[in-house]
Amino acid sequence: MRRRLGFGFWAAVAWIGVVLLAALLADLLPFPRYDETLAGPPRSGPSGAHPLGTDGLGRDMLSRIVYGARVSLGVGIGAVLLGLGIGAPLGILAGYRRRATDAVIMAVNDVAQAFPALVFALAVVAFAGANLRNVLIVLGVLGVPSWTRLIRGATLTYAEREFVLAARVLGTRDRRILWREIVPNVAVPAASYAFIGMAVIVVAEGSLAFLGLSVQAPTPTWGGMINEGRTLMETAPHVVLAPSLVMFLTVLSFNLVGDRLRSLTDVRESGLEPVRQAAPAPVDVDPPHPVRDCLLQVEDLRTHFVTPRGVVKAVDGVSFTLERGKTLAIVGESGSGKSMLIRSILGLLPGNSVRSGNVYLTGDDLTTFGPAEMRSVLGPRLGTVFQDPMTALNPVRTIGTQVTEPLRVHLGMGRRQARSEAVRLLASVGIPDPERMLRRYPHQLSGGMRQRVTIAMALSCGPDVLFADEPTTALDVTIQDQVLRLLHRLREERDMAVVLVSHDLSVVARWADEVIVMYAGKVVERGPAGEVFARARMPYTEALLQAAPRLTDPVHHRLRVIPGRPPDLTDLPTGCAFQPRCPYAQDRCTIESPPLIQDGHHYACWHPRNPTTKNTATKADPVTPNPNNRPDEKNHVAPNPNTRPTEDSDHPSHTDSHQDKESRLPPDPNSSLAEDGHLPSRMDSRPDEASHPTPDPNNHPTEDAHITPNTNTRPAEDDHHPSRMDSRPDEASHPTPDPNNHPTEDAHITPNTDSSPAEVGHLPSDTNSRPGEKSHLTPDPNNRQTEAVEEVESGGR
Amino acid sequence: MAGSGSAHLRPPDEVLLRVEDLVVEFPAGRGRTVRAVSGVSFDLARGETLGIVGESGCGKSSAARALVQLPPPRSGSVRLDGLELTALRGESLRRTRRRLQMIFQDPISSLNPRRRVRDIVSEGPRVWSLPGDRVDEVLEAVGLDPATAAERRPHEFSGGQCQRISIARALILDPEVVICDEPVSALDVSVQAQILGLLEDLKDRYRLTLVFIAHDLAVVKNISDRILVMYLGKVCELAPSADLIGRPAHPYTRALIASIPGGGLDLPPADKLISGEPPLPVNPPSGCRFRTRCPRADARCATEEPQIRQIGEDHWLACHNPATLE
Ligand SMILES: Nc1ncnc2c1ncn2[C@@H]1O[C@H](COP(=O)(O)OP(=O)(O)OP(=O)(O)O)[C@@H](O)[C@H]1O
Ligand code: SF4
Ligand code: SF4
Ligand SMILES: [Mg+2]
Repeated sequence: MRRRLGFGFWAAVAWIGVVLLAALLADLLPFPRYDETLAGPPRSGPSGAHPLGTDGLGRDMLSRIVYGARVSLGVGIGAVLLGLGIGAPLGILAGYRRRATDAVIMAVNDVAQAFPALVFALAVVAFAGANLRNVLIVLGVLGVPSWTRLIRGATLTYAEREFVLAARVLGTRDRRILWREIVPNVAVPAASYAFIGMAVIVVAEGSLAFLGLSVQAPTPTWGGMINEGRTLMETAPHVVLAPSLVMFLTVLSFNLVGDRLRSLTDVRESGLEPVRQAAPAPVDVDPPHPVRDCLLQVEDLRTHFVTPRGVVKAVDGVSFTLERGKTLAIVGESGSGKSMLIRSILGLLPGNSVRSGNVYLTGDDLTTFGPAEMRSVLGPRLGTVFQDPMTALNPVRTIGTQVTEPLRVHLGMGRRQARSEAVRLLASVGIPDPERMLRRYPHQLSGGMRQRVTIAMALSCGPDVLFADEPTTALDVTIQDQVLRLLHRLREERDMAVVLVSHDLSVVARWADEVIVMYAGKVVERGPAGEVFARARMPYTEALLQAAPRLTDPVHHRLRVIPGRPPDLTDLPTGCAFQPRCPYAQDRCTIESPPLIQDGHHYACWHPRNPTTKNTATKADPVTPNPNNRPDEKNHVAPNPNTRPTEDSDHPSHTDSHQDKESRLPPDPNSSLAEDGHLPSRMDSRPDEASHPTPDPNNHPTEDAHITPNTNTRPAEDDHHPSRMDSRPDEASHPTPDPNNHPTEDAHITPNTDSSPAEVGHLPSDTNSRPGEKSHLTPDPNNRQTEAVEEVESGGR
Repeated sequence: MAGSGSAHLRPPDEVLLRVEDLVVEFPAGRGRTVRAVSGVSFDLARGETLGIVGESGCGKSSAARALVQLPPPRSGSVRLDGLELTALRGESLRRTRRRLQMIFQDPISSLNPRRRVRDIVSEGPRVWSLPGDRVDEVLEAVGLDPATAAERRPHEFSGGQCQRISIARALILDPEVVICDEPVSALDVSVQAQILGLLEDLKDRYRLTLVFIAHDLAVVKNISDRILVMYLGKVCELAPSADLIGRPAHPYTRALIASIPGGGLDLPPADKLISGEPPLPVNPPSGCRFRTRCPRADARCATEEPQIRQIGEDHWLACHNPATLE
């Protein structure tokens, strides 16, 4: 807290302290009394004996200023305390009690505030006599209405908070609630205004004194001294300047302290920082990566924030490509960098950030664009929809002006043409009666309608890519479905690409073709949505899937709990960032950060889940060792990999289980899993099965050749993958023809809706047979292989 | 109006909390009234968890607050173990507070930023002049380490941890009923799972009766024994959780389920089951309040409010033309 107050604040505090101390100890200070005439030669300038010179009567200026401070500060502090003393209880009462109490207090307050204050002050002082007490009381009482209003406002904001409600639910009495819950919170803003109030009163007192209506001579006051010095301006300007300067510095200090205190409370409330355009990066003569022929390509994008606590790596080396007509979803926990990734791509970053990497839009590197060039891209080519439609819309302008503006600016349409286009746009996003809607203001619309309007605005210039950051999180589930359907339909109609940020995995599974899972600023898993959800490799993805409740779970089903919380981005653990929370972590995870490798799809993990191969499949699970995973048991197991002991009873045979599932699936078994809305890997993880997430003992080595697609050990998949495999047996038996395995395409996340059989068949053994591919896998894939084999051997014993 | 009646209430001596014909209204300016809750009835047996779902603005939170009489409902009855809470005022109402606690949606705003965790949690015992020596026990029960957590202030904690502190604050008074108003809506999935698990544990350990309010049907199903579906201040359907999700009969329940991707039921797409937006509660539709969005609405729905009736074992419904899966 102290660090953020800054030098100016402390200088101001020091000045106030010095003035206050001098005023209090004036009698002890070694200078002549304020009323001692001819203490030095009259009208003499500053000298050793009289540091601030003397006035017309030869009185010591320093002494007079210090004694004058007693009046100025005394009135300033006293009047503020008086005003607060009366105003604060009234304000708190009005703000907390509300209703009738509030109405009465505020009505009286309004009348009082309408009173001509200065006239009142002059009248009272003139009538009752100009002395310190009267001036203090008059200025103090005059401040009461403002204090009441201010404290009431502060109280209102806290009285609405749930912790006050919680205190009442606890049975706390009102007096205690006021004292314990409200007063401490109101105190900080009140203190900040008190300082500003003191500045106002010091000036007011000075003005009264100047008019001769404050404390009477010979007691010095700053205003009175300025008044007296007026006639000496020509010969002895210091007589006016010295008290003026002291008063100026004092008022400035009070204001500064008050302002800093207030901004302290304000910053915590808002936390919003100004957005600026990221500076264009120097043009890379020879980028270390090929620029592909695709719509959007992001290469090694990084955004770091320099903060007092350290460097926050909000986005840390993200790469992907996106094609037209596809939806890419970005999932991850709060703070994992999803929004920052989008803002980094769009070049809309807060001031304290540093961005590196490249963003290519149809081959043009956006990171080299200047602000003007970016403006011509944002809107016409890249559209954006954010979580809170209210912040995206200007509350004081009609929907009509806001929707037509981009049409007129970017597309150069005339007023009429833009208006009819706006009507067409609003109709296309399902807004009833668009003509009338154009005349409305944002606050007159429901949340769902507002979001439709922002979508219409984002689409108005026909963007190539639509970025939607949690577009439905603020909406009700039935409206969410409508909006997502709308986005999907528009994507089809306009052949654009959509980047959808969401924390809702079922939404992602339903609507996305591709998915990126982020953890602590990094991509930890990436691939076709159906496949990532069916066969998550990275433990975090797996845990995330099992932590989300589903309608198909039984009642009181225990969800998977991920212990701990996401790491502090300024202080990441060494090695894998998920390691402190990962049940499968081993030594290597704490040392080396796992690279994003491709094995089926992309993932970053040293000990992946749901292995496809013999080597990794039989790797012993360090945490939940499967009791079945004993060599001697293998002999008892039926050759059919799907008839595992645990499932025998409910699924007598593979075909049966497959068929009863099938009846709930769409007729086309090849349609993307994501589209039928089921999350296969999770659907079937019933509690009894979940306890065996470990390698399938039935992976009989000799079967590997033909059962590859369903060697995945999670029971969950068995019902789905076989169904695909069975429907296209010929494909499954050819592990190689997957187009994605081509070395030059490794960075692609080309959607591959029915890719599972082919991708699953992509075996490491097969990888080894094609050395060309290894280069883009782990730095040293052979190491992993051997390591895994060793583990198998030791674990199997 | 849509969904009135109290046929579904169990005999008073079998239940701990009995809410009958609850009405909550707020002035909306220009002489209009927001009809937040209009004649809702439900009850809870001891140790039961009742889930309440519905869209935002359907009156879930208003109903929850009316239960704790903050503010008291416009009309209706709230009986805790036979004691009529709506008839109590002042000190006698305050004395019932210990028995009925509440947890709120926003974990940050539920805690006073200027107080230490120990003070926040021990506030209840202090108010009730009870020994405050259970602070460490409840902090441990909600999964916080008293040694490190108790002396810190809320802003040093994550959302999930703040929600744990709120739960500890409610628990320390040994309440009989805990009303959870969207307690996990502001949390990440992984943290949500932690809190749901915690609530289940605490429910067993402290023999709690829970009212669990949420807009996410999957979350509600996970924790509730019975689920009550509300629409625009009215009851639509009430049934044991598995039954409600597996055999929804009310058109609105079906639309809710169909709107959730991966819902599991063989329902038509959601856009065939519901259309448009909810009307404003200042001017609710006549007859059945869902009729403006209901694909099954007919003339009768506009004139006659459906009454709650039984359609299966402990399965209750308010609709003229219910749908069945078969
Ligand atoms: N201006 C800033 N200065 C410093 N750090 C920042 C700033 N803005 C964001 N961050 C940090 O960057 C990280 C990523 O934030 P981001 O908003 O991208 O997360 P998110 O995944 O979108 O989370 P949510 O799901 O909550 O929206 C966070 O740790 C955040 O604290
Ligand atoms: S690399 Fe290690 S710590 Fe990280 S997710 Fe994989 S197993 Fe867990
Ligand atoms: S069918 Fe009629 S009564 Fe039933 S929900 Fe629809 S509108 Fe209401
Ligand atoms: Mg975000």
